[in-house]
Amino acid sequence: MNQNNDVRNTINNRMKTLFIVLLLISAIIIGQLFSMQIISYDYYQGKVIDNIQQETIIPAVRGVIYDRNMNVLASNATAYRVFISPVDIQKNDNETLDNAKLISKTLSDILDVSYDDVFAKTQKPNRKDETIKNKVDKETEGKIREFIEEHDFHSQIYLQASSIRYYPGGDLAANVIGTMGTDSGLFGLELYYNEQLSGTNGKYITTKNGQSQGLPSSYEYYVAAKDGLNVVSTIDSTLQRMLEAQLENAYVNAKAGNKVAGVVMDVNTGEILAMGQYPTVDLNAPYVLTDEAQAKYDAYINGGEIQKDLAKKGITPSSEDYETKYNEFANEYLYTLIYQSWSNKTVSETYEPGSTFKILTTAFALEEEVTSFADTYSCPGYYVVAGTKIKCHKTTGHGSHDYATMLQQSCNPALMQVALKIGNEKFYEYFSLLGYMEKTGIDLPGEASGIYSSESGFGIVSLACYSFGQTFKTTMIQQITAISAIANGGHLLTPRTVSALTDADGNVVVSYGTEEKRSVISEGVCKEIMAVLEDGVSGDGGAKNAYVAGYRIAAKTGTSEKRDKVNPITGNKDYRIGSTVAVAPADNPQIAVLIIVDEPKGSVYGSTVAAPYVANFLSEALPYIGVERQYTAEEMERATVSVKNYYGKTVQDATREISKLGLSYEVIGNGEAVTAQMPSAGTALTKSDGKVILYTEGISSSSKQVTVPNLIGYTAEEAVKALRAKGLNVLISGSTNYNIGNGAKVVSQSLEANTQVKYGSVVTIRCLYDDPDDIENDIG
Amino acid sequence: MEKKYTEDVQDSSSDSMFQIGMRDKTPEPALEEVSHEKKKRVFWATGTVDRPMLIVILFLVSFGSVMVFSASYAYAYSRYGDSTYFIQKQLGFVILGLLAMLFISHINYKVMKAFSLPFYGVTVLLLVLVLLIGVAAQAAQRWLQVGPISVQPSEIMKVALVLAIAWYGENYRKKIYDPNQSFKSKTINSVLKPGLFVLVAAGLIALENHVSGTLIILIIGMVCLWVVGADKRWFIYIGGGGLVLVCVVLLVVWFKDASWNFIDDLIPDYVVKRIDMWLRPDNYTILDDTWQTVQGKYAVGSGGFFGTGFGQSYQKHLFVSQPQNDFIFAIVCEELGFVGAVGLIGLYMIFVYRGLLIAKRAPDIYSSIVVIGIVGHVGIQALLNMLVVTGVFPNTGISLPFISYGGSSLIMLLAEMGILLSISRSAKIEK
Repeated sequence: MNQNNDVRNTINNRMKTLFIVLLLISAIIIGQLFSMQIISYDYYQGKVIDNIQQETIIPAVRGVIYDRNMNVLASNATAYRVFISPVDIQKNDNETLDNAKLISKTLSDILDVSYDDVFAKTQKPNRKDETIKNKVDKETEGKIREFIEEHDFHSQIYLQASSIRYYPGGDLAANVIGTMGTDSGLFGLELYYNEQLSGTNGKYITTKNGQSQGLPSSYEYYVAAKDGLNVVSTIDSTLQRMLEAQLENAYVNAKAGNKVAGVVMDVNTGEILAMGQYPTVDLNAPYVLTDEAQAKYDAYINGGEIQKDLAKKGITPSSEDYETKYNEFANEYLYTLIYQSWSNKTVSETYEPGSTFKILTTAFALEEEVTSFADTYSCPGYYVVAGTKIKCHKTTGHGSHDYATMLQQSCNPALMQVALKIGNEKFYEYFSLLGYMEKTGIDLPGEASGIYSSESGFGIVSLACYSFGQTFKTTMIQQITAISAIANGGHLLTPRTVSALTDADGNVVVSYGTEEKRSVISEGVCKEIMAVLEDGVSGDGGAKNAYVAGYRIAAKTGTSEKRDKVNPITGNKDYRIGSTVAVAPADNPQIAVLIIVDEPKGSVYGSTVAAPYVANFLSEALPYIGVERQYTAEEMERATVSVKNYYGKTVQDATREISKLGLSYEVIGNGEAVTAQMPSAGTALTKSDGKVILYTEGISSSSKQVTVPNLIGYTAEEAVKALRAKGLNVLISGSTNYNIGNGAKVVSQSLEANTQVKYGSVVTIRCLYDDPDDIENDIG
Repeated sequence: MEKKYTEDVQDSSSDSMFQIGMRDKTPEPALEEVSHEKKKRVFWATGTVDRPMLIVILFLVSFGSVMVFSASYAYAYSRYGDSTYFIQKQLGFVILGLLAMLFISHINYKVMKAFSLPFYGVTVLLLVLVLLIGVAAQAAQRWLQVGPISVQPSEIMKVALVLAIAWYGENYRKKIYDPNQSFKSKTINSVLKPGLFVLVAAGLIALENHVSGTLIILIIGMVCLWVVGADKRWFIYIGGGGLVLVCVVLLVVWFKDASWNFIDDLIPDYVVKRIDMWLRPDNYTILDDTWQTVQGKYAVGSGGFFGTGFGQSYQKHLFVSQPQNDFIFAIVCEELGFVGAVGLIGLYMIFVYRGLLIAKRAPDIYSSIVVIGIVGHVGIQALLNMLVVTGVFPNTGISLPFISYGGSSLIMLLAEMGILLSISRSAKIEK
């Protein structure tokens, strides 16, 4: 009896224990559930959302970049990625090898890629996507599609469309526009306005199951893409082309060791109308070296330069990692060249402006009324400042002249004397006010700051050197902005390359107007300076080569030393930068042009290497922007007229017509009617001395021949005389005010010397001044 | 009206030992009188089944069916192109199981008592047969094919073991409870002899490489030995030993990359891997190894307090693999939230509680132990499954009783319920 009680008791007690154990386990589970479902709910919820969410990006269309006349500078084009699916090529057992070979052969032919590479890719089993080529154009895509259709390779070869950036101008305004990397601009406007151009991608979110198939759920979320804004640049493609043509000419003629760069600004608005450099970069192939850069690269690799660089790091051909390091160095140099080609010289590089800065020194002085253009200064060929003797470029000295002449002749001692009158404090203040101590704020990436003395370090010798633009550095954009301030009556503006942002429908979303930083120089002073500079161009100044017939040009040339770079060949710091700045028209300034030639060889003077190209540019640009030519009486005389057709006319009628044009004539033969003429109809002849030869009685125009004389090195006047003596007509290009100062010499002639040409033929001669105008030497 | 208890109870003159849920008892007429007059009733049980228990069971089964449908339809559609593939089969199992339960609940438990030992013997034979001519499903060989029906003897063993130990507990109670025996003798009578049933069953199932089955058998055996009255000291030893074993296994797995490779022969590779995945989930990629456990946890956690709503699980859409099987609790947690999950745990606890009440009033020691064994088995298996799904335990492959999809397991469970209900006819519980 007691035993059964024991049994029951034990069972009852033990089942209680069992139940308690189960309740404890339940409590553990509930605790865990609480932790997971309530405390960490967000985490798990997030994980499930990650699981089921399927996000499709709807790419925003990148904005177009236009020039000021709405010509497209950068836009989007469709390109294709060609890829193959090796696993599908391998599928068809019997024909696998044949197919692989056929595909490899055809694709390598169409896409210009290596057959072996493609074939290797076809042999990768388990791969569904092997890229053969990116950025394939529409035409090539068509050929591949044809091939796919023909052989039914729909599951073996694929074409994937995507959008790429296209630059219709190629290298036009390349350093301003910039180009695209994978998803962002690399330089230029593409980089600076990247955010506005990019827009915002949209997305489409749906749900999916564990095998990425759609879920029967209403969970859907759509955000439309916000397309990028279009950028309307202030660049004028036509002016840009004109400028770039002259930059290339300057580069070629000066055999520049570095770049030639130029910028054109609307002086009244601060808008950049053109900005370029040579060599530049093809925006559609930004990683391909230009011929010039390629030559540099080849020289580096083949000329032993790379070995020298390697040796500096202690790496010799016997070093273990020589090959690796060699490739590293070669690659590094390659990328240095590529990045150099992207760099915008006008904005991102600094230089010592040299004599073009004398315009500013003069403005400071006139504004402070410490001198006037009538004041007389004397130059013995040097000037001593605080015990330091600083030479003039004309070591024999300019003698005594008024300040206007001294400025036109670019006399350093005169400028130094003027600067000393201004005084350190005032000069430094004006230097700052004209924007040389701050970035201009132009809307382009990578603007460099100028390099200048601290106020405490700005001593009297510095002042003397600053007066003619040496011992400090500025950017071209700072320089042209300051010059523009003098041109527009003293207003320092913020330069701009973009005038507006528009939406897809062309509505203006953001508009950028003229932004004046401050007014620095009074209008009267500015006008006075422009007039003196214009006199220097049309008269016997250092900037005569900037002369353009029919236009009033104010210009100043400059040649500065590159005092921080040693020429490895001579061992001297003899690299120069030749530059010319011009404002036109001088009496009503509209545009300013600055061209600099970095490291010219041969003649190094700004008046030779830069001024003629400024003149050439202006002679095309001014008519384009609507400035009328206004010839002086003297210029009128040398204006050209077109010869008419006189064939079949009576000699009497013909001679009357020729006289009417202001030309002279010579009749050969005794016939009544004209049977031939020289030069032919349509040829331009100078009014004052052009002569038409008329032939009668059927005498041929080639019956009378003359020998062309060698004119190189003659003054213009001598050349004209020599040609007239031979009965040849003459046209003068280049610096056309040849009869002033007799300094201009013939540098080229259109018909080769000592050849036989028809009597009355036109010889075009090109004349340039080659004064050592304004080089600074031996600055302490 | 009060009913009498069986012969064992008759012996007792004191009622004080039945204090849970019962106040008054009066002796019942001796069974012999009844059996002489109504021989038929020897085979068929009399009395009514315990209604609350029946309702809890039916509720669990219905809830299970609904959850199987909810959890399986996406997978069924993806796999078989038919969303109802699993629920159709499951409903068939439910009907078969309920019929089995109904039938068994009418059999007098004394008949079962009489056949307990032979039943165990046959099941042992079946387990041996499985090893010889079994059918392999996946890695392990666990099935016997009889015509169109495949039988999993390890499932049958879960019942057979309970019955066998109960039989022993009843017939050897005097020896087990002999207060004058030595520790050695008590060990032999209360631990070693009944433990032999457990060891034979567990050993045979272990030979099938069936870790979860072995684990369940061991747990059922422990529960049964516990209530049979095995010497408590041995539970301390076994518990301590088990703890040491678990620690050793964990250490082995933890250092398996080092030079402990000899242990590999003792523990199957996939067990080592599962434990390692639990210990160091970061060493495994979610795409293959830990996918099911990790996705299961995502489902549990993302349910939040109220759940995503019935049928609204995201994770069943091919994220949790085979969501109708061992990880169905994850889908329950996701769709019904903390509230639903705790509710389900509560339901199991009500089931256990009600079962223990029946055990307490069961007519004899045998029936009492059988009921405790059965509810203990269900309760522990359910909680183990939940521990796995919530990431507390490594993945063992234990299903959730009544809820998880699976014919063999469900039919055996409902058969067990039949036994439980049959016994409840003889047990009197105050309602």
